Amino acid sequence: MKRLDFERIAALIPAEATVLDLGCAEGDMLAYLQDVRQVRGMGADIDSDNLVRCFQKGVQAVHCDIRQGLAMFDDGAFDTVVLSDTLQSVHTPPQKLLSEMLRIGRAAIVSFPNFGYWQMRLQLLSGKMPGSRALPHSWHDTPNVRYCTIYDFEMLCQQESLRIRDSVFLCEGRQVYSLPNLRAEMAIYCLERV
Amino acid sequence: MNTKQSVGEVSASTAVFEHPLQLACGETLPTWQLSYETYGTLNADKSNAVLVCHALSGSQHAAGWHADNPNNIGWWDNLIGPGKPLDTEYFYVISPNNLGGCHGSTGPASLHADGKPFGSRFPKITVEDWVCSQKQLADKLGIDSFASVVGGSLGGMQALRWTMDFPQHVKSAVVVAAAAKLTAINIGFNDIARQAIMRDPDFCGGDFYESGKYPQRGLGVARMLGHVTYLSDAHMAARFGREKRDDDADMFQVESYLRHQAYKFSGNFDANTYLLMTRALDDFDPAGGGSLAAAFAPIEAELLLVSFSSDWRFSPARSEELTQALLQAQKKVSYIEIESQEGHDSFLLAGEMYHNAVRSFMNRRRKTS
Repeated sequence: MKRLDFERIAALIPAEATVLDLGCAEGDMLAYLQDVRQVRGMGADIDSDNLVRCFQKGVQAVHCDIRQGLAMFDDGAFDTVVLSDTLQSVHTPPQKLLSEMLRIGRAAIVSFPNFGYWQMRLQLLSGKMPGSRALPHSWHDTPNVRYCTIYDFEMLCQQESLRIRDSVFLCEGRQVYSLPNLRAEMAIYCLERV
Repeated sequence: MNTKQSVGEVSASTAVFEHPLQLACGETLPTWQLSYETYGTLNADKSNAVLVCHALSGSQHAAGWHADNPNNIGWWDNLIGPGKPLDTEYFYVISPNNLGGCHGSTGPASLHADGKPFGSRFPKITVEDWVCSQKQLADKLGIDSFASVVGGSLGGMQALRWTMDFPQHVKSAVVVAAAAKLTAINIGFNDIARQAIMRDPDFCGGDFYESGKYPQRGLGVARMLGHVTYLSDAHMAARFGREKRDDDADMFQVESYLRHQAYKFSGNFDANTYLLMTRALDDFDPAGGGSLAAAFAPIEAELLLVSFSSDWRFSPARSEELTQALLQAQKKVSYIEIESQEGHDSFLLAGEMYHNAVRSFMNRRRKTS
């Protein structure tokens, strides 16, 4: 499966880097990164079905409840820590999670659905709880616990003194270069400590 | 029984070693033997061999059945066989009886050089000794490298030790419901079991073989204790509740069950072997007071660790410690915690998720081995 967000994330990761994928799901992204970037990957997920799928793909992965903390991973244990399309469904406060990611890795890559996307705004204006391709769940049946816009996320990075090394914005399988908070469905950030 | 998915009728072989085995305790066994079973076929380049290590009360009889006793199914038959997670259509599985055991390998009931059984004179055995003796068995069978070493509980400790002691000779390991070392409460349970055996008047200080006596009552109590702690409160409540026997209003079903298990087990297991195995469990501590990650430095194998949510003797926290140390040591490791009700004994059962995890990991070994 070719996914633009995987491609763009891969482009942010040096070849042969060590990569920890938090909330790795079925290991598709790590399998892709292992394939195209020859990374040494490690997945972490709480769901046993997901872990078994990782094993089937030859993706190493460990049982990990992100809410319980990431103490099992040492300081600086990985080059890059990825949180792909997961930020919105983790109870841990994002500032704490980002701080942990940058304790474990030199760089942190975070992707999330942009709640500021214009279609979302329109839906809310018309009185409906918004949804999009990046946020397909209905309000009463969703794993998500928090939403943010691109603007919100950048404010948080500023507040937490995290340097944004790179940012990529996507919509309908294409990259968005202007007015991302309005035009992007999904955002990808590569962060470093200042 | 489903003959299609069974390795079928099997019999044990014996490997005799005429040279001394140096043991960790300093003593040597001048000559010794290991009884073992094999399932599947060794391929031409001998790359499909898998070693299965047994736990406290196991034996070499891990799969299939014996001609003289078709009801005696191997202890890990649900895992080993054609089409099973440890697929004998592809892998060649070797299952030895541990040194000090009571199913054909040299043990406390074997004869010493003076012609009398070792009994209390049998030397102390460690997990490292088992691994060392298993390596010699592999050499004898012409197997330089195992595609995997697989074990649960005490068997998992052996699998782990294999990856540390013979990194060049093991490509992967499956370590199920194990721990880096026993906690105080576990050592406590083991000692209660030992005391039950040693305080049985028929134990005779361990030298009961020629007396016509046998500490069956003590061994039975030891087994009852083990059996209860290897299950979980929820499982026992669901299985027995407070039901009483139909024919005896004073006896709970759980009492009746445990007594039956005690009787069955103590009738064909050696009391000295039980002592020796529990000691090996208690003493296992590869970090030796130092850093576990440092002790894991030599490992080259890829590991799969499995724990069970209801296992309170070898809890998921113990497997997490192992995982964390392996990650620290930058080893190739995967770890899965399986939701289960059956406590430590889950590792012997055929939970779907558990078996899927082992199957997925082992299938990858096929492609690379």
